Amino acid sequence: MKIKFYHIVMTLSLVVLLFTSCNDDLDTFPTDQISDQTVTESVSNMMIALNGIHRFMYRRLDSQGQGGYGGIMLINEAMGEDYVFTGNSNRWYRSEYRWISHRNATSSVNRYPYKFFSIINVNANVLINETQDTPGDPDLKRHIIGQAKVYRAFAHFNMVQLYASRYIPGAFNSQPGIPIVESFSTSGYPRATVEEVYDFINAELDEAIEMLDGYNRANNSHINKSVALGLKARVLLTQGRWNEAASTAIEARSGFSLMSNDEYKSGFNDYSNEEWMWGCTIVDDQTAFFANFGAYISRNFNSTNIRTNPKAVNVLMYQPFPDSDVRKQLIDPTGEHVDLNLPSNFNRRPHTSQKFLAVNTSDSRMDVPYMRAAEMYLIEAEAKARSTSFSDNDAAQALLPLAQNRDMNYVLSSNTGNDLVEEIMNQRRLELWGEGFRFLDLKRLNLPLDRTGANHSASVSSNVFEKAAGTNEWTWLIPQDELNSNPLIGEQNP
Amino acid sequence: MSKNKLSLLIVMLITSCQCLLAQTRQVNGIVTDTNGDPLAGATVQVEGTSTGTATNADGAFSIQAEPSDILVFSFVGMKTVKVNASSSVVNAVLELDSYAFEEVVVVAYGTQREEALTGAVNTIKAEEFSSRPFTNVSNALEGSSPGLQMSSATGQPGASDQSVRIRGFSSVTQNSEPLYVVDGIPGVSLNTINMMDVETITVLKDASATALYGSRATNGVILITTKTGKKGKKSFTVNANTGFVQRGIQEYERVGVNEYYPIQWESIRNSLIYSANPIQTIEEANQNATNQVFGTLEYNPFNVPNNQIVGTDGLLNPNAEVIARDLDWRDAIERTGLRQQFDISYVEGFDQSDLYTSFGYLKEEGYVSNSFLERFSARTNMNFSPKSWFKSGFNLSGSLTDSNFASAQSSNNNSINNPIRAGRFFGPIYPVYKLDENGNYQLSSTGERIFSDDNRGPGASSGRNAVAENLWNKDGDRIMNISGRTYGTISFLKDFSFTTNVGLDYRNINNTSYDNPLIGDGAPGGRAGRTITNSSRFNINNLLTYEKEIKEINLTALVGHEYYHRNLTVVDGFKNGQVADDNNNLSNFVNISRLIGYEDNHKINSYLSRLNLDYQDKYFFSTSARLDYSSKFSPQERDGFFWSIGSGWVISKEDFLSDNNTIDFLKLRASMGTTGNDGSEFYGWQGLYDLNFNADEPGATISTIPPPFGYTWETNFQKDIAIEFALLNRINGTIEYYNRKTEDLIFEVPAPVSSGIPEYLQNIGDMYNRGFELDLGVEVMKKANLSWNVNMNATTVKNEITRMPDGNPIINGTKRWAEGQSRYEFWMRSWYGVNPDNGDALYNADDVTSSDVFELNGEMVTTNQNNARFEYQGTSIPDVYGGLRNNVNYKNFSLDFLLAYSIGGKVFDRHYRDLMHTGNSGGRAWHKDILNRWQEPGDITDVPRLDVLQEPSFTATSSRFLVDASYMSIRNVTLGYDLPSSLTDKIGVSNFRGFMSGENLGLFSERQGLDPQQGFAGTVANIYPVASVYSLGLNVSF
Repeated sequence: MKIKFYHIVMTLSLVVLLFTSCNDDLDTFPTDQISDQTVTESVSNMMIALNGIHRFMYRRLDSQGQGGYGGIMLINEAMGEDYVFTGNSNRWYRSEYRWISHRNATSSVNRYPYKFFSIINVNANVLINETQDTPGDPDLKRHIIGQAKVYRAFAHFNMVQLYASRYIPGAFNSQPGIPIVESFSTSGYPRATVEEVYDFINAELDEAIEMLDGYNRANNSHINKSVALGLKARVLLTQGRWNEAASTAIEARSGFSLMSNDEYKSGFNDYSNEEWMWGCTIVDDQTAFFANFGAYISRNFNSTNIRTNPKAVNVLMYQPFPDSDVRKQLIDPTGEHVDLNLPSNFNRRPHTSQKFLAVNTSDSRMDVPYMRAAEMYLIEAEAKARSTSFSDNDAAQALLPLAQNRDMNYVLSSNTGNDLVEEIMNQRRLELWGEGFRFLDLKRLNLPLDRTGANHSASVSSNVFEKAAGTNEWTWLIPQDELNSNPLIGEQNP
Repeated sequence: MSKNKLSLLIVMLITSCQCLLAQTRQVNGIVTDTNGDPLAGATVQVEGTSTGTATNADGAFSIQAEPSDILVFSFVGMKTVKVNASSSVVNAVLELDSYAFEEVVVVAYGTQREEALTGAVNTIKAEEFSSRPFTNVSNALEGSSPGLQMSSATGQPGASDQSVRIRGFSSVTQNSEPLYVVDGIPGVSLNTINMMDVETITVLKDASATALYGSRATNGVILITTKTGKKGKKSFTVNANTGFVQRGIQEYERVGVNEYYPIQWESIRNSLIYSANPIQTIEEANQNATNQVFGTLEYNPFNVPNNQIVGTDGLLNPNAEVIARDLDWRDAIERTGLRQQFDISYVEGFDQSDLYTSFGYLKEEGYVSNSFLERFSARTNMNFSPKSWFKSGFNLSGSLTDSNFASAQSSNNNSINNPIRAGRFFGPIYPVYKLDENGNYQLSSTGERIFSDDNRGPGASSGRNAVAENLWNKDGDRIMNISGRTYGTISFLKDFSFTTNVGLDYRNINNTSYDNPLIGDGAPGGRAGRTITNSSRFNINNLLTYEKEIKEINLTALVGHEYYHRNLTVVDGFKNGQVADDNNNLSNFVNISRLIGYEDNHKINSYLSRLNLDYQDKYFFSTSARLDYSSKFSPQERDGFFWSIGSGWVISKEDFLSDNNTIDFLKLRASMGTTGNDGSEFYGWQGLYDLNFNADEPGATISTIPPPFGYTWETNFQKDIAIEFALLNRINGTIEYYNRKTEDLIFEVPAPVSSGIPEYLQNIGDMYNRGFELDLGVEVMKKANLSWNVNMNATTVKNEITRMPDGNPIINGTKRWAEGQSRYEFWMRSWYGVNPDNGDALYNADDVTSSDVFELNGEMVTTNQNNARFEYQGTSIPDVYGGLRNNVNYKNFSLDFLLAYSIGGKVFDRHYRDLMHTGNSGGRAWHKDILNRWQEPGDITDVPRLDVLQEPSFTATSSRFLVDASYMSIRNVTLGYDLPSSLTDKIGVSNFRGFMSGENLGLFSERQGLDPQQGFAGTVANIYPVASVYSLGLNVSF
């Protein structure tokens, strides 16, 4: 009896032993990620990857001071003279304000734009390189690849402006630029010359402009032909190709109108504004919290940074504007901002701006403006003023629509020559305050940094008031991590 | 002391009763150990005959013997005693035989006689730690056995397990923690286990011991075995333990309130005359510094106006008196916590079954206010054998843990609300509470002090208050842990047995986070999060064993199959906009800020086998093999084969040593084999896109790329040779040499930053760990009433990377991984010193042709940190580390103490660097060493000039901040008293023990405040330092 029972048990056990599992069961996949192959499987899936890039524009990188492109905009402001820190208490962007981080190759801030734009670029590369056989609507596919190309140009353009010495208009720019990265390689790419990088950027944009023809985007976070043209105008302006810059800017803004003064005063936080050519929106459940653009620049969000260091505007720059100018009306010489009802623990500092407003005091989200039609007017006006092919009147006429929109008392400028250029640049400084242009403008125009005589504090800026034009200090160092990981990168910047 | 040990042995003792036929008189008696405790199951035999019996549960026996007979009393692990049977009552006292190697130890998939081991195995028994007031079982490991290097425990009650490295560092980038196996289920974390339920902790170190765990065994395996009932024993035990908890490591020495302001003044002044553009005259600079110093620090604790705190002479205004109060944040953060532990358990053993059951309660308050752990645990473990051919058992346990964390975990290193960080780094000029201009407390409408949200310098977290945030916020885990084990063993065909083990561990972690609406990240709306993590581990194995004795050969063979499935499911929600006060549940918040969820699975399918042979109990041989298929690798690369062979030779049993009086025991063993490391990534072989922000349209960005050069296991090839010995009846020990070589190391190879891919996985590189282990026990004194045992262990590690991809080094933080270097070799700027002329920090220059370089004392130096030369600066790996345990017994008193030590290696003291800042981080505390700074030309010092503008250069990460990592710490001292049996009998208990115990009583290291043991990499972070615990306990059984 017993033996028979054993036999049954043994037979069952052996069955269990041999068949309890098989290895087919061992394929496991993540549930919060998708496969890289999914992305290039169909054109609609390509759209997912493109959207990823759009959203990456506001994704936090390595610290809360690295909130996507918005954080880089803030750095470009902090390193200029128009964006004034009013308190010493909070460390975010203060080292940049003091011109320290970008010259410290091991600083994560020094690496931040380099890394950020490289990530944008590699995501764009996949859409450009690995989709030859992807099935789907050929028009949509073309529009997606066109946008990827704009991103690729955008990434290289921003990087070369920071990490290489400036593009000298009219010269052959053989100085080391940045690596041109068109596909992934574990061994890296060497630095191309600045000239080569600009050639690449222009070629990408030209292709993109063609590919984006006829694209109707879902919303302003996507890139259409106008945005591609607008970026092209920026590039041309930086290269000092004035005539092309002017004409491209005009073409770019076609179809966009300037916002009303009421809208201008409503907080710069709605990307569906008719003047915004390109921007992002951040939905409720995807906030980057203290890494949001609005966590530093808005007047109303309750962060230590904003409470103790609300951002003011350079008095020398803004005060000459008449009070009728809507942009000046957003700046409160007392810092009270009565209509905002700021909580009592918000420091009141003179000349702070309420141009930007976050959703509310406890939500730092705001839509971030990457490109506005106003910039296109300013590019056109500046380019015409600097070009020998246009008269001063041409330039003044170009400025008029914008200036008049912002200040209804404004009349056609009678300035000429350098005065006119100066006026246009002042318009640009006030109009684009906070939008990430000033450091790049100073660098492209080979101007010095001059904060003297304004409302900058010695202790906050650590007495960094002046930086001579054209020195090595205007070039960001190549991040140490790149020197360590890219054997082909070559020499560090001087 | 020895009771538990003996109890374990009893289980293994098999004696056979024999009927006595000889006609003689009856002799009765009791057999006890040296403590007077009765020994159950001891053998009593009439010498020279086959007449024998065994003692019952009370140690009593009766035997038929003639008056001229000699009775032989023996018991496993005790010395045999012979007594003349002339009297009709013969009692015997058996003494422990320290060199008995008949003990049975837990090994992979079974147990084995210690003598027969061919691998490196250490066992830690409950008696070694049952009086210690720690909370996480992993704390028992430190100092206990050779080969274990531990990072510091944290003071946070309920924190995760203490980190362990066994015999060096098998991996560079992948998981290096050993595999924990709790009652047969791998991968379990220990922080919910009641340590009073633990019977033994077994550390498996070499391939012979670990290879049966295959792809997860490279870092060693630690087996936790919980208690079972004891045959012939019946006892109810109450254990109570109460103590208090204090900070175990002192804080760094920092300058006081009166010294602070002038130092900041000097840093501003110096920047104006040395670094500013344009440079100012010294008079202008002095005046500007006086004017600006308040603006930099933003708070005035003195009774003088803001612009007169420091004079233009750089000295504190002689009229300045401190009127502010509560300037030391640690006072408001730290407290003396209470620790209470209460356990009851019952054991019983019958012929066909045994039972262990327990209930435990523990509450520990950390010394940082608002941090605590409270745990209820219960366990029932029973085994039964209803038929002679069938055995089974259930081991069920559950625990419920509630805890609140101070924001001082490793992830909070730089968090503003980290109270440890605030207590360490806040300048001594900022009050915790809001004060009026006279230094008096401002009070709320209800008369309470108001927490300060003053403006402070940037180094002191303006507008925030770590004390208030720690008090009002919440970050707590509620963990429910349920585990069940069962098995069935069928014996058949005489030599075969078949066992199925099934285990399921289920853990639910419900994390509550809450940020208050008054101050901090949650202000002004208030916000709350819930993260619910469900983790289950299911494990089943089927083992077929064949055991056969053929003449003098014992053979045991095992084949089996095992399947493991781990599932991790997470739901995480976060909302802001609090509605009602005092409610941190999500419904009480308005807006969703995050809502995510995901699930991960890890599966392993395995086949395993083992063969053990021994001949004449002298020659031992074992071999094992395991084939693993893991879901962590691609279908083409997921199979891994691991094997081991081991052999042992008990030389002392050879004839030529059998009569040797010096050598009591001598054994040589050696093993080799392979194990694997399946890496930290669930899906490492796949190219993936993150589903990140989408703004209402599906979006994804590249997360990882498929490993471009293939991807599979790390394989560890291990060799081990050891001599075990016992000498002079007093000394025993083991000397062991190990050599472990890891091949196909998985690296996260950093791709060029410009590629936009942070890194990719690749199996590259080889590395070895070699070293010696010494384990030595000495019975210094052994008298009837006094015994003194010393156990010490020491381990050396030599770690070296022998192959890198294409020979290219990889720089990772402060380390550079390169051929010929250890994996923890510091790679940093080479610090030269301070320029006596101007106080500049100087580094040995890299590019000596650069314009910033000049010659000083024959060295080419620069103050430009970007042109500093990077060099190897030593390693964080110690030369030797280990532990020392002392055990003194005098009459019924026992005194134990345990030391842990580490000699050699370096640590990068980032805290010290941050405390030696040059003034850019105004508001941050300064270390006392800042008083040695350079102040005027000619000063010879190694502390550079204070200068607001020179922070990146002067305090760059360099060899300047490396310090010796050697330390010695007093881990535990326990004084115990056992009531003598004469008394316990009277009060009707079988055991009554009272004890005092102190945990982490002192740390001796190079610099006060520095915990050099914090991480294996030789880096430090603002984490909750280890606690000292002082406790009183009582253990009563009846």
